[in-house]
Amino acid sequence: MDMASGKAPRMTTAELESLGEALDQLRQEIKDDLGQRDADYIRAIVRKQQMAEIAGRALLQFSFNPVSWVLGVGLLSVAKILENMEIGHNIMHGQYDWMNDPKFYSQTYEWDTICDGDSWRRTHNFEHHTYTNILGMDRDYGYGLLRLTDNIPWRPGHLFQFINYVLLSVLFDWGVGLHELEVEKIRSGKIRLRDKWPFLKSFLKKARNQVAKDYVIFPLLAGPLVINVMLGNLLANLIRNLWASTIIFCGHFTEGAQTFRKQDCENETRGMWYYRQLLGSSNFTGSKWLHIMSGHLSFQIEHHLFPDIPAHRYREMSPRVRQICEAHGIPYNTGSFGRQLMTVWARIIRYSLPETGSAGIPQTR
Amino acid sequence: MYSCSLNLTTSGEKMKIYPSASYQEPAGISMLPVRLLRLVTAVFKNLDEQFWRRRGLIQDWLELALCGIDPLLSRQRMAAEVLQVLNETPETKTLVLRPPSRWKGFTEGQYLPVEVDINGVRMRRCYSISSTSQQFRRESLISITVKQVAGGVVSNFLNHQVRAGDILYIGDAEGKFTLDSSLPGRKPVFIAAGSGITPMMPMLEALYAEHPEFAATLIYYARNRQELIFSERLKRLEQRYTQLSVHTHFTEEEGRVNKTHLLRDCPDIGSSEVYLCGPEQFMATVKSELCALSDVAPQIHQESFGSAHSMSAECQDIEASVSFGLSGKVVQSGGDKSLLELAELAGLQPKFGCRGGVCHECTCVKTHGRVMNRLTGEVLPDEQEYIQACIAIPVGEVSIGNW
Repeated sequence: MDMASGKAPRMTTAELESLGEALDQLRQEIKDDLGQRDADYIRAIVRKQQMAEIAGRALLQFSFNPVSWVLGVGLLSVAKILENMEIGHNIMHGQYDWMNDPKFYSQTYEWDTICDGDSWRRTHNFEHHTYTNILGMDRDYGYGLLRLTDNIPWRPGHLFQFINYVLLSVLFDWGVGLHELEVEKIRSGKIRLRDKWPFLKSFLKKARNQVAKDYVIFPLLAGPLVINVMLGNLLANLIRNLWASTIIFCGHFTEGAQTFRKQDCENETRGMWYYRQLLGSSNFTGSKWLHIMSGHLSFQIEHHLFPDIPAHRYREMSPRVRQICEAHGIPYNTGSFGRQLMTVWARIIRYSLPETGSAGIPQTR
Repeated sequence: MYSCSLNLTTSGEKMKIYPSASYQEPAGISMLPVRLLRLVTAVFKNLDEQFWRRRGLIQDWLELALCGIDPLLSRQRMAAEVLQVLNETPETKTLVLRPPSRWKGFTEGQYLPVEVDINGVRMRRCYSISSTSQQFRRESLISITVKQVAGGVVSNFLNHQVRAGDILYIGDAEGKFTLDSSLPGRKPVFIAAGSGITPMMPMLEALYAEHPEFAATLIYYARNRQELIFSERLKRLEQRYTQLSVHTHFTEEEGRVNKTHLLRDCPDIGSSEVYLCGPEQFMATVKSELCALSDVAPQIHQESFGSAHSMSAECQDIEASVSFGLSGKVVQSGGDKSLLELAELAGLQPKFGCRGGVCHECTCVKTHGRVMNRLTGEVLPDEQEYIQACIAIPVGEVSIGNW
């Protein structure tokens, strides 16, 4: 398979098949081992998240001094990050469907963010995880906003894309919520706004509930402290947005993460799909709680290979995946959180400028 | 108020076995405060129910607090405390449970949905309630009697892991295998094998508590004397009520059920109302023996415990295609698989429970087409939308809307 970008090693059909088998075997091993430990883990995380949210909101509700306000914002931010990343995202992937517990059932779970659960299941679980990093098919690649490869033609507007990136990060929950609207297609006239009415209806309903909760009901309940609570909630949402955006950008937009063309992925076998996931994703290293707070998206490679395996298992799967990669001569893209983030920012800045021919990433086309 | 009156309809007349559980109020103006109080309670109960039916932040936080105090206080699930574990036979135990006050009560013969988490996986099974509703009204206690099944994860768990003080999560009682409305004055004959006695024991006790003069027969098959469930309760009932005749058979000595046994135990079985419960094979044999023995087929009520079934031959070659509306998947069927199995083969993960047509957990919405009930071979009427996927064999083109 030809790559649209990057220094991908060429793999023979037999090699791809052996890669697929090795990863399938690892997947089966972990699937067979799922049980009490995993159920206990996710229930404990949910309990911690609930405690943090109750404590955080309570502190904000009675934030007569700045200390309790700061503590409240901190705890509420942690709660929102945990809920979105380690709980919501992972449950909605079906990682805990095997528990047969309606509270952890992927199809009905609704998370604490602007994005409607059903919309997320369509655009993320289906589109992004199936067509990962295929330009024109995976709309998560640059979110129709950023140019992160020379395969996207340069326009003058891209000069300011770092500002767009910052704005997207600040308003990340709204951006994710409106992702399915496909603004870029509406603007270019490919689709009409009215085609998106069913989506908009569910979006507005979810957004209304979220705004009511964080900016109307809880603030009003605080009586004279209405402004404190409103600002506290706003700040907690902002912190969550910046954190989530940063983690997610480290997943596919680091220096080594590769992109693909539609024609590369026709009649794709399981081995080829695995191969694409490996090349298109990147990890970062860190402590146990950095992994938990990132919803284990610090193991983006493992997450893309096994999106419905409980994420806390990625930690133990990672050395095995790395071994398999080494055995097949495939690069395993990882580094410290800081280093990976720097390469993301560098990439955003580099592709703000038009293709220079020599400085860009070598082309295989 | 729950309705646990047991009605026998005799030639059009309703004959109440039990007085209604509700308070008998004398007429008159003095009852006004009581009525008002009852109205207010009903309104609050209703509001409370509506509140807990919704899922939201406040409910989740209250649930966390309540379960932090005691899991028995859970409002999102129905927690029943196990008060006693009694040995019935070496392979059978009775669990005495105390359901929460909002549990709606039951009629003898009904079953109790039970949820247990085993190795992280929530499993749902249904067990016949083996105590009487009279005991429930007096002591707020019910019991289920569980026989170990080879390879049965839940029955083994309930037999070996559950101790007094543990919690089981239950649902409201369900099931139509009761002495309720359909008895047309014919003599009831109860035929049970093994754990099939569990719904019948309380049915008989309730029947005789109210109608000591009623004639009934119980024919009960067990492998041997050690495996006879409820031998004490049966002995007591038989000694006390002369109109009840109890016949126990041990298959290790007398062999399997056959028409000679049935006729000897109950000569007028052909004109009776038969209540049948036991393993699938046993029930099939009893039914064919009964059909063979008289031209007037007795009316048969049966309760299936939903163990693994083999397909009847005529279903093997039904070609069908099923489209699942929500996931957009389409599967072909050769007529040997249920909708649930087909959906799972298609990669879907629908909710299920007993997988044997008992508990209705896997009910789905059929928007088009026909299905056949795997247990009975009956093709369900077209208008029936909610169908039990685990026992529905698609016939022709079938669409399922919500999968």
